[in-house]
Amino acid sequence: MQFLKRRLPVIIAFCAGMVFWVQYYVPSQASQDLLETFTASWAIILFGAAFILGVLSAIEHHWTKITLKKAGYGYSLVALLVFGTMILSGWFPAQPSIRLGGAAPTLSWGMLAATLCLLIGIVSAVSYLLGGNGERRYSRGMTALVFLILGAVGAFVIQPLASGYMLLWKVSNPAFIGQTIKPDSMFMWFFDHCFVPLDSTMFSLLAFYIASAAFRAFRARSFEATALLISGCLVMIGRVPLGEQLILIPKGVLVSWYTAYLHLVNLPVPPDLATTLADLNITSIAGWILNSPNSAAQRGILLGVILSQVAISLRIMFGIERTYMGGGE
Amino acid sequence: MTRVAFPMLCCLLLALPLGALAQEPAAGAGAAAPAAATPPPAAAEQPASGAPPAAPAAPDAVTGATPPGTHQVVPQPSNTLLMDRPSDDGTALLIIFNLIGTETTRIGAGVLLDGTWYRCTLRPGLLATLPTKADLPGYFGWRPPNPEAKVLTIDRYTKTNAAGEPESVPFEKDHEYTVRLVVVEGEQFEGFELGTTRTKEQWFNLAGANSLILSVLFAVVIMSFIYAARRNPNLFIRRIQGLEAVDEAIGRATEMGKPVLHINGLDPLSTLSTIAAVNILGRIARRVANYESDLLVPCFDPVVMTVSQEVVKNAYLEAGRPDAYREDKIFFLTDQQFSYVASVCGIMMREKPAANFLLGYFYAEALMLAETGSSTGAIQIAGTDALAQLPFFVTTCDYTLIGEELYAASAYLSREPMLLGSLKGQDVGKAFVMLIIVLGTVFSTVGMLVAQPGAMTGFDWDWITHLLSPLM
Repeated sequence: MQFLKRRLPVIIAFCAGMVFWVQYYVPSQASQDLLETFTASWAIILFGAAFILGVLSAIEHHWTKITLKKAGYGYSLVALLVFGTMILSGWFPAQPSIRLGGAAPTLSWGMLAATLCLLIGIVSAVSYLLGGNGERRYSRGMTALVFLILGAVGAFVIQPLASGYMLLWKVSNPAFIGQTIKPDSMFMWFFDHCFVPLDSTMFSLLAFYIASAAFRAFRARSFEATALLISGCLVMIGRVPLGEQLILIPKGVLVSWYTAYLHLVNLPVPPDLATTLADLNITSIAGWILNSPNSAAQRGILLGVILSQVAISLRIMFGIERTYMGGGE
Repeated sequence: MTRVAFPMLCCLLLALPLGALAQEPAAGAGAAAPAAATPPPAAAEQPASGAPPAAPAAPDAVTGATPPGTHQVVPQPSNTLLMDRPSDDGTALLIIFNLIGTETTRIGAGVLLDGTWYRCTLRPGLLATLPTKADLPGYFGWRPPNPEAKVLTIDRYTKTNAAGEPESVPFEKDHEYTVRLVVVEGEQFEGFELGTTRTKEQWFNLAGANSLILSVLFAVVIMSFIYAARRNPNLFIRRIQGLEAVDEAIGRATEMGKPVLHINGLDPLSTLSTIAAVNILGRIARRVANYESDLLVPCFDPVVMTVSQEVVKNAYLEAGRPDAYREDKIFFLTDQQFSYVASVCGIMMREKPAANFLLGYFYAEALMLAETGSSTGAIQIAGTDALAQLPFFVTTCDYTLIGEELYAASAYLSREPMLLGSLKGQDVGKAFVMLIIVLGTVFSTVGMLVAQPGAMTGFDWDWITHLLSPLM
């Protein structure tokens, strides 16, 4: 048991780490296939399996809130209702047009959703039967009930009905069956007309958060805050068309200064000096701030991050860092 | 009559040799290197055979066969070379050539397979946009001979499949290909056969040799410091304010009877910053268990949720408080970015956690989470290596772990000598990089200064830059 819990994960981590480290330096086809197999198959299978647990967890979280009538349980109720609605909408037609002839698709998204519901229902039911504390057991039981009903309705009522309808009228693309989610399906209608606007609304709130954060950061209470305020204003003005119009030093003045300097240090004046120099405006200052001090700081941070990533990789590969496995020592 | 006829005769006699002179070069050129009359706009994309005689350009653009009696205007390539692409999986060839063309000169290629020419699947490449040998140090080194030579990579050809549709077929490894370079200039084009070569699969990417050596060197340094820490566990590590405040934040939450909120970022567990965040979660969970406080971990990724549950469970177990562990406190919310933000902000507003830990990789949601947390009056400790989000965290959070501090946090909080040893090794690596940066800057500057006409040559002053630059 100790071997399975402590040693085996470390051995797997070490072997996987070494294999993929070496893989980076091996350009052969076998090496590429190995990477492809891992990223395209294993990772997706792992994610798929974990996603069921994730959905169960989310449902349990909201269900518990509803049953205990915690603060904001109404939102949880809405979340579960919308969750169920989206699953049901996946069963509805991509396009309710009826084409005569042809065979029925063997696997539809509706069937897939029904299968997923049944699977979640079965897992919840098993979890309910295995026991646990009262409150959680109750929520698992309710989850099992809801999902088994949803899955059963999808798989044993809607699908056969649709199939019967199909057989009756000899159509291949009946209402409730579609190989893919079509742009004019109910699911996509919900997605385009409910989810996307709500998502965009949340994103647009960012502008107000930026304003309030900037107000806090730009209060010139110290030298750093003052420098931030000035450079921030310069960059903001420099990134809009106004920045190009705000000329601080005209080109003629710059040329005369540079010519005077070259005369002072006894260097020849380049013949194309007037064409190489340009007006010093806010945009050029903003460009310098972004490309010089800002880039230098970012690269410094990035170098530290990369070295740290190598170090943490080594700690994990050699089993020195084991917290992520669920055990420190 | 004579007065008119004589000058006309003279003009005619003079005009004859001039006309002959004017025709001679054209005839000669046509015989030497005939070119097609009407090539297509993208000659390299035409089918290899079957085009009608009225448009002979299509097959000829690939095969290079040219009808006789046409004018020679296509620039001629020189120093042509066909070779296997180095350090690859054996599915590509390189064509190297020198060519002085115009802005409109285009390049294509064809391969001969079973007696039939097929065009290589290329975008109608302008000569000017092709890389030179000097642009590809991964293949030819930093100072290759003939650095101005153009390099064309070919790895696919177009073939008509059984359904009569064009199909792009990749080159096979360990297969011989006869290749022709096609130069298109305006309405003219010409093919130049380059010979035959074999694609070879390589088992080591030579272009990555510098990074391999440096990573091995760095790994050795870190491992030696880790094992040195076993003998001398009293290592000095500089104080990190954000991590010193962890206890204070959890203690405050305990006193107020409010939960501690931990967010692992939005990246999956395959990202190192998420692993670092989960590691920190383990340390925080142990302290929360010791203080008998409450911990909330809303997750964005179901895999991260599963691992977090296990990590927190073990932390509670190690703290001797397995009874206090509640699995439903580490839960999955959604994998949609702004839905997640809405949900977490809702939790912040309703539950009013006294301490928020925002650790891992964040995107646009960083500021929304941090601002909402700030408005609830919670102590906020953030840590990320997302450079674009760092300013937002610095602005809105009480403490921010910048870049590498996020990775050091787990070791710092654990105070385990071996983990701290790796931090020391990291510092040595950073010192080495700083030294290299300074040396590289000096050498590069000196290289620029001495690169004047008549100055000393033959020494690559920029060698440090070359040593550390990515080759591909």
